[in-house]
Amino acid sequence: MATLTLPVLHDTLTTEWGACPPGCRACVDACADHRAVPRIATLDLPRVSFHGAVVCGQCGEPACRDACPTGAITREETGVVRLDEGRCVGCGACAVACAWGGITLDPQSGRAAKCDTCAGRPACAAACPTGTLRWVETSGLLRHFGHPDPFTKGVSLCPGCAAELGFRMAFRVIGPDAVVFAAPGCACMLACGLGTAATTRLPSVMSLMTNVPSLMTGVARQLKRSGARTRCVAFAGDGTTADVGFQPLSGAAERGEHIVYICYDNEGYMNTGVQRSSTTLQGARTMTTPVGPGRAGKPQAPKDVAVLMAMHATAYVATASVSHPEDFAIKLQRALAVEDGLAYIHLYAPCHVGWQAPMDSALEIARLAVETRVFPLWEARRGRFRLTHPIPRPRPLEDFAGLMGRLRHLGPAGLETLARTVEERYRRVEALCSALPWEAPGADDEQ
Amino acid sequence: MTATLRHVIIGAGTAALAAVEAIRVGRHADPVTLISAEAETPYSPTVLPHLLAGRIAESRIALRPPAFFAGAATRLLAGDPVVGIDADRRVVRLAGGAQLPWDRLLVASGSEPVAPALLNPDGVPLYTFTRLADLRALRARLEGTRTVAVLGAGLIGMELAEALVHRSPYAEVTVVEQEPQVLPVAFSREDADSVRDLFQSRGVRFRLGCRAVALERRGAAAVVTLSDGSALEVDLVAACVGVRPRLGFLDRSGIAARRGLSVDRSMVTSVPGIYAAGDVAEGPSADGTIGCHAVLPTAAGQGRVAGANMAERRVEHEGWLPANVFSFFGRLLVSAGVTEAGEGHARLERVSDGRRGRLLLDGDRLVGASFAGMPADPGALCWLIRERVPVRAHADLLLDRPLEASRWLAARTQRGAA
Repeated sequence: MATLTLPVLHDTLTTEWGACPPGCRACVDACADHRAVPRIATLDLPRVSFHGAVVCGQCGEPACRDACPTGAITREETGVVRLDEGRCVGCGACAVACAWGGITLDPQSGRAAKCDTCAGRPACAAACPTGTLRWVETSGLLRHFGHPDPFTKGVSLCPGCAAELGFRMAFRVIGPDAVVFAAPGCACMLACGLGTAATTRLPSVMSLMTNVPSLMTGVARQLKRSGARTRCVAFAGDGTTADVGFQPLSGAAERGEHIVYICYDNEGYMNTGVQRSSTTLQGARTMTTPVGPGRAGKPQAPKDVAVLMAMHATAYVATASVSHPEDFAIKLQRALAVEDGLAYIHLYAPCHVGWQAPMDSALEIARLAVETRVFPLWEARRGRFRLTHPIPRPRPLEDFAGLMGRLRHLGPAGLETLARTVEERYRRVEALCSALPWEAPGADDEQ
Repeated sequence: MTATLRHVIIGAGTAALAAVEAIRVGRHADPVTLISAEAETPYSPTVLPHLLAGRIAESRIALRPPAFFAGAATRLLAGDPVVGIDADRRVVRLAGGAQLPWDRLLVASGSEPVAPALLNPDGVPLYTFTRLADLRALRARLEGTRTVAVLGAGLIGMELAEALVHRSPYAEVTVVEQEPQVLPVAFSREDADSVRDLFQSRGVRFRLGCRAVALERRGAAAVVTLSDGSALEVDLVAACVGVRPRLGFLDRSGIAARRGLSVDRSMVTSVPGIYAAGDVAEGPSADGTIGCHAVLPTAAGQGRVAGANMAERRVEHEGWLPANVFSFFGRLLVSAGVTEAGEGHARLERVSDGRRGRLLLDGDRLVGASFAGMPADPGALCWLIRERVPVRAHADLLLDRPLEASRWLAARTQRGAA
């Protein structure tokens, strides 16, 4: 191939499926203010208690375009699939070709009608009173990941590893001017390689589990003294961070060391055979919290390390998830912008092996952890919190628990205990958000 | 990815262009040559009745803008028909003498009209209606013409009849059809009869259950003798008795054909490297029956699959599914799946105020649906049939509010929450 085509992302309208208030037609009315025939439809079906909205998804390879006999449907550079109504003869071939309810033949006008996103400012989303219908801007996502992939060749972690993906994302944002610190755990294979062979383009330091921030302190101070802008970045697991390595981390945060610390949280000691850590979810089965007579997985609630870190009045603390790359990238950029202290990011990275889930499920698990409130996404600057991805209507916890074997033994009582823990954790963060308002020191800051 | 492949496509219609789009998904530099027998900008014959009725101008029917064929990689040869294929040497021979080599060949040459079986000793001109040239000839002849006989009440015949009436309310149009109903196969008897009534209210006459057996000239007019012994005297006779795959140039090519070119789900013919899509392809339906299905969304889908496989992405066609949408005189008719109940099928129907909805169910699942005079979504209905979605519990809702209910049921399975 002569040309390498980079992936292009487009902004899009999304609807939260079936989350409309009964009888609401705000989106249809807003569309009808601009158009002769509304291009969004509500599915208001009280008989089956369903209330939703359906709108064109602007397909990458639109079947409606291919079926149109007058060339009236085209896909533009912006990703918008546009219908030129002046060329439409109302044959309905597009409506046969589309299985998604994205295009409708209007018997009155004798023509088809479909959404054109109002040139990127959809009136329907602006009018939606509940946030069910949203305009999601994704076209800028890739610009955050401007640096090359940090790996020189393959890595020796399990296929489908979310921590590996998190590492790639992190260093595509951070770039090559960094020293990466790791401790025993899955990530030492990422940062330091296998045997004598390095797999990244980055200088890396392998330390003990008990002294990662201490080692970083020395290196960071020396780099600063020499005038280098090189950043010290830790990529360490939850065992190192939450358990044996917590004391030096707490100390570095309190002293305000100029380091970036990323904890990838896979909720256990995964590369030594799946033992529980202090961040392991309540009720989860591990080798050291088995399931059997009188035992039903881990009895304790997980330690909220990120909140603990924020309680040091740390310069910047955030939670992030591999399922929300843009959110992660923006938070990393904020962490890198910190000049006067420590920045800590707690990255949710499900381990499909230890959690007993299919190889391709880590991202879906991570997404559902956010959508069920199991893992709230927030950030805090000097102890002032805000939710970056509020979940007003959480999905049922069963949707999350059903994805993995480690929670399969939970009956209604076990799920209820877990649900209470999850809800309390989310409410605690909400309370912290309202306790002291988030402050944005620079205009650069608002997304 | 392998080196550059040379793609040659016979045809420049819906299936052909969908194939180009699919090839271009991954292969931007592969040379693609489309060969059109007609010296026209690529168009779809679907537009002919709309052109005749004056609903759209000829300047606005191009399937793709000229820029689509202006680049180095995509070339259109219009007006130089294919006369033969040499499958061993991998070349296509054109009427003008040129020989085009190919690595991947797609036959998407569309349909041609079937000539009606009748006696025509005087050589009365029979106007067909499948090409722009047909339209121009017909339009020229229509000046000063008042009475027209349309032979055949299929989709093309009915659309021609509607266009003639739409064009001139003074036209006297008689449609002759050997089946007892209009739109046989595409719509059920009841839906078809409601369409016939609508046409009759606009002055169109029907002679159903009989066919034309002979033509003779009487002055400037023609006399059509029908199989029931009666006769019609008209100014012009149009023949719309059916179409068949346009395959004449494939004689002795060695590609297996029955009614059309036999293809599997990847749209490849019996000869590796040669694909077929659209009206000429005889391939599997959604339930596995083999046949030709000359309908736009099928042509587009088959073309996309053929193009993807020509570009070495392995894709299978989901199989064609009968589906039709017609809007005659502002009345919307939607049909998906089978139109008549088969053995063991339950038939649920609702008729009120000129609206008619009907579901054909096999156990829990939908096998056919049609709606007349009410909004419906044919794409969602096709999904429900194709994906065997259980709908019985919501049959009432589907009959009452087909548009919303079909979209709701389809979306539930599309979102993995059946």
